[in-house]
Amino acid sequence: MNNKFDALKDDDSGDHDQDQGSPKDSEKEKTEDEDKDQNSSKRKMVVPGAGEHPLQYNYTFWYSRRTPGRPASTQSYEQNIKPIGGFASVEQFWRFYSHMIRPGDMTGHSDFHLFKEGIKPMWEDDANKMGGKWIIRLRKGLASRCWENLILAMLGEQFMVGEEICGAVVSVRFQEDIISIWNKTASDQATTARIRDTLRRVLNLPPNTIMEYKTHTDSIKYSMGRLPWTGEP
Amino acid sequence: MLFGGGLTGIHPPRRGNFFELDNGMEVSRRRILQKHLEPARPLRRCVPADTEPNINAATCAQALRDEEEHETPIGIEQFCKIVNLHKKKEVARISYSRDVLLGLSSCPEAKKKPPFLPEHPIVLMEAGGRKAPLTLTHLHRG
Repeated sequence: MNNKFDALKDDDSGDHDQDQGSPKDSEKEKTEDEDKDQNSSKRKMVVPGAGEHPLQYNYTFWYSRRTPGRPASTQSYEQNIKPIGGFASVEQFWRFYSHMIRPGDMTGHSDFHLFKEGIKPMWEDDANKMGGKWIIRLRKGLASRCWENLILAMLGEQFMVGEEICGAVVSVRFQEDIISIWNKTASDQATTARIRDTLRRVLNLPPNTIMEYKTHTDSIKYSMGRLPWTGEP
Repeated sequence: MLFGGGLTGIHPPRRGNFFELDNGMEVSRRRILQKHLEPARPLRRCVPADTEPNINAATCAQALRDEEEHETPIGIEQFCKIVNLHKKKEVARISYSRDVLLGLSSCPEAKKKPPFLPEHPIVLMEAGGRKAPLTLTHLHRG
């Protein structure tokens, strides 16, 4: 247990060291304090339009692509991950969704993330640090459909686990694609079981599909210096 | 936990215990026991202590209701109320089935280009560069 948390701490502090050495030093310093409520302040006032169908939560789309040849430290991950936009209603969601390419059409080492407003798609975010994710590896060709079904279930509150869901990720990789859904409390077995069962149902997966649950502390522990967000072993 | 002695305290003493005793003993014991068998009353009360003790379940329930009206945070009914509130909260979550969400994807509002959409390789200039939701168009299979 201690080791896991040490890993988390080391990772954080390493991150800060790198930040201070970066050329964007002053800029970073300035935004650091606002960092926590960045989403709410920067893209503030995302509200449903008149007559639109409100969602239970506001969400933010993020996109990340690994820069080829660069080591995947936490810092470069954070720099690579870009918010696309936020929405608060079903209609606003479709506007973004219909103006973005499908995961199956993405090339290279790319990820779409859809997270609740205020939660960064990072293990280190307060909402994620005690959490984990269900991972499903998909053969090529299934990602777009599965991703769509996954996020529709999330936006429609089909998981029925209260506040537990943090967000969802689709990761396009060389030989396979991975979809995952993140929740707040990895130790809450009732919640993780319920998420698993809902996933099975909404994704309509073949019975032999392997689903793997991974805590973020384990992800950090086993992937130091590797790709931090993929769940790659 | 909510009641001292509780409603279960009203049971009469079991007579079987006294069969072996002579009559006099039985009577005196019974008196003692009866004296101890006071009606159940809630532990925490906001009604003044000198009120007449409630003598049956109905009045006990009435007392509970009285206390509820006084906003005392105890009582089974109140407890149930709190539990129901939580349930209601869960029910009150805004949820949509997949079909409802997909149905809304074809309305004009859903096809507008969002303001402030960054220029990016993953961003399409027009809605549905590959038509609307996959699940509707059935064009995706590998």
